[in-house]
Amino acid sequence: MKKYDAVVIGSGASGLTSAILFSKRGKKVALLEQSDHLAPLLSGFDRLGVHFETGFHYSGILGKDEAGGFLFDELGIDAPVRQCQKEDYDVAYLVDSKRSFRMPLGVQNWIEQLNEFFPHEKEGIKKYFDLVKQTIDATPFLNIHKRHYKNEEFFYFNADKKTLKEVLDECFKTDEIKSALSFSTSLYGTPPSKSSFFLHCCCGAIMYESAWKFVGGARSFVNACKKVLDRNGVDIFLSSKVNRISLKQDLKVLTLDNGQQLECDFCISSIHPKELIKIAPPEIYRQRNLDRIKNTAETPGFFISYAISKNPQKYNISNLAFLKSADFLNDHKDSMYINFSENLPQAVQFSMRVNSNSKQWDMPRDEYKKTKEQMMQKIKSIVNQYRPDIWENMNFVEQATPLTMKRYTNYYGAYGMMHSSNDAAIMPITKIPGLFLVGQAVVAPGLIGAMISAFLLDKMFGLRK
Amino acid sequence: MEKMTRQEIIKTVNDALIKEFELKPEQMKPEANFFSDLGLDSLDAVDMVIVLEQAFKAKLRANYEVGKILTLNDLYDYIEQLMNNA
Ligand SMILES: Cc1cc2nc3c(=O)[nH]c(=O)nc-3n(C[C@H](O)[C@H](O)[C@H](O)COP(=O)(O)OP(=O)(O)OC[C@H]3O[C@@H](n4cnc5c(N)ncnc54)[C@H](O)[C@@H]3O)c2cc1C
Repeated sequence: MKKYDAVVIGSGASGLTSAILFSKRGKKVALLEQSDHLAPLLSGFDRLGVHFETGFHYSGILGKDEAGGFLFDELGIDAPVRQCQKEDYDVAYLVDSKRSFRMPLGVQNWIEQLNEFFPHEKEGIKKYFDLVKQTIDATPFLNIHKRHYKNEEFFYFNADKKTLKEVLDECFKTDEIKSALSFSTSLYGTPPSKSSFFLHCCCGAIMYESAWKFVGGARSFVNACKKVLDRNGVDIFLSSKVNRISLKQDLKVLTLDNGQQLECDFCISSIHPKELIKIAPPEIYRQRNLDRIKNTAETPGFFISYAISKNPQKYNISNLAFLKSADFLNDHKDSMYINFSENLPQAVQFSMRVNSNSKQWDMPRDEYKKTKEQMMQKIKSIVNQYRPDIWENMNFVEQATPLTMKRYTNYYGAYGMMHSSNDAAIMPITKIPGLFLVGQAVVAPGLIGAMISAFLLDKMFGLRK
Repeated sequence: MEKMTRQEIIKTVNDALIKEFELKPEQMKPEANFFSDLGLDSLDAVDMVIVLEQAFKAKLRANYEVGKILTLNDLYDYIEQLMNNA
């Protein structure tokens, strides 16, 4: 049986980061991935020679002098990023007032734009952005690049349970602006009534100041990580699903679905916590904890239809969402947005929120096919209502449902477990010494949240020494 | 947070912890150390905060300093102080 100092389960953003950090500590590391390629959520895919992104479009704070850029440097990865252009950033079409709100970059620009669109909400706009700034400034891991924090400060709780909905209700009188400012909850899967304001700041509001894309797509990030993994001698196992983790004294023994076994001192799981408790020894948590994890809600899923634009001219938008004022009150349950790539021919994705309950997707083949057709029709009717010029220019090439998600990531919800402000946080430690958790369930969804979770574990290691 | 007497605080804390961690009432001595006497670990410490927040229907984590609360008595003091400052 092959023995490693550390084995990382899952090669997403958090697994890649963790594997690099452990290898940097001089450990002999293995990285295991069930899919047949690294980081399926970030690598994207090609159809008819056009590249499509899967689980990454853009992120805040990836610049050189921001937290993300600092993390890249610490990992020694060279992942080129580019600031989203103002004119090709998000557009929210406000259905009720028939206005296109172009989301600008830079907090000051946001404030000016909102003041212009919602002159009666000026006071609330100021209050909201002050609260955002306060919260972001007070969160050590979003300011990790400033280096003046002591390691233990990263572990202080921020547990203000106030929800995004409560904050927006306090700041604003009308629903249209609340709808516009809470749309970003679709980018992390916890709706406004359940998302803490803090989570909203970590995942959504960090994009007010800056928003970045990877040059060449998120696969550039994966390739850059791969280079460092290779250089540091990390063994990568693809198509290697871990079926069981057992204990042999202090060692963790991992059994793969092909029967192969690996031993390690440290096992770092980046997989969905509900999947982890299925394969880990029962003593991983107390029963009450296990129950809590089992009962935690899943983030909603996406039905995504992928298309190639036949229009010889570029749509100069990166994302387009159709927002009703009522969406705020119904937690954006019908959220739908279109995402455009920047290259010609343009790759276009139509993403619609759908139920991620596994039972919902356990259906015979023809029913599955029919369900997908119905979803296509629903998207078509929404798009055609507001932008028929877009729909008629599309050549549809692929579809993805929560079932597709399950195949590539081993969970159904777009962002794994929901981070509801009422639920207990998932901690990086377990009851089993040497068995740790990283990933979007631990800190927050998104590239930054996933990477930070791995950095927190690394800091914990530093502290223990 | 609603004001409570020290006696009420102690009862609320003890009841919640006994239930969550399957402790025995006779273990709940004020000087009992969470780690060495009650057998809790750092993961349990996090759960403890959550359970107590539910029991007191209040946020206990704001300004919570990890590592300062080691015994049951420290915890009673902490909650009492929070209530007085509320
Ligand atoms: C449609 C979509 C769009 C998104 N857009 C953005 C965006 O624009 N910006 C942004 O920042 N974030 C975005 N996200 C979120 C972001 O992609 C995720 O939060 C992040 O990539 C999660 O990283 P992770 O390491 O926690 O998990 P994952 O990437 O899911 O990694 C877990 C890995 O473990 C593997 N695995 C699971 N079980 C096993 C097992 N038993 N054995 C071995 N391997 C296993 C899985 O195959 C998976 O690769 C998007 C997500 C989706 C779905």
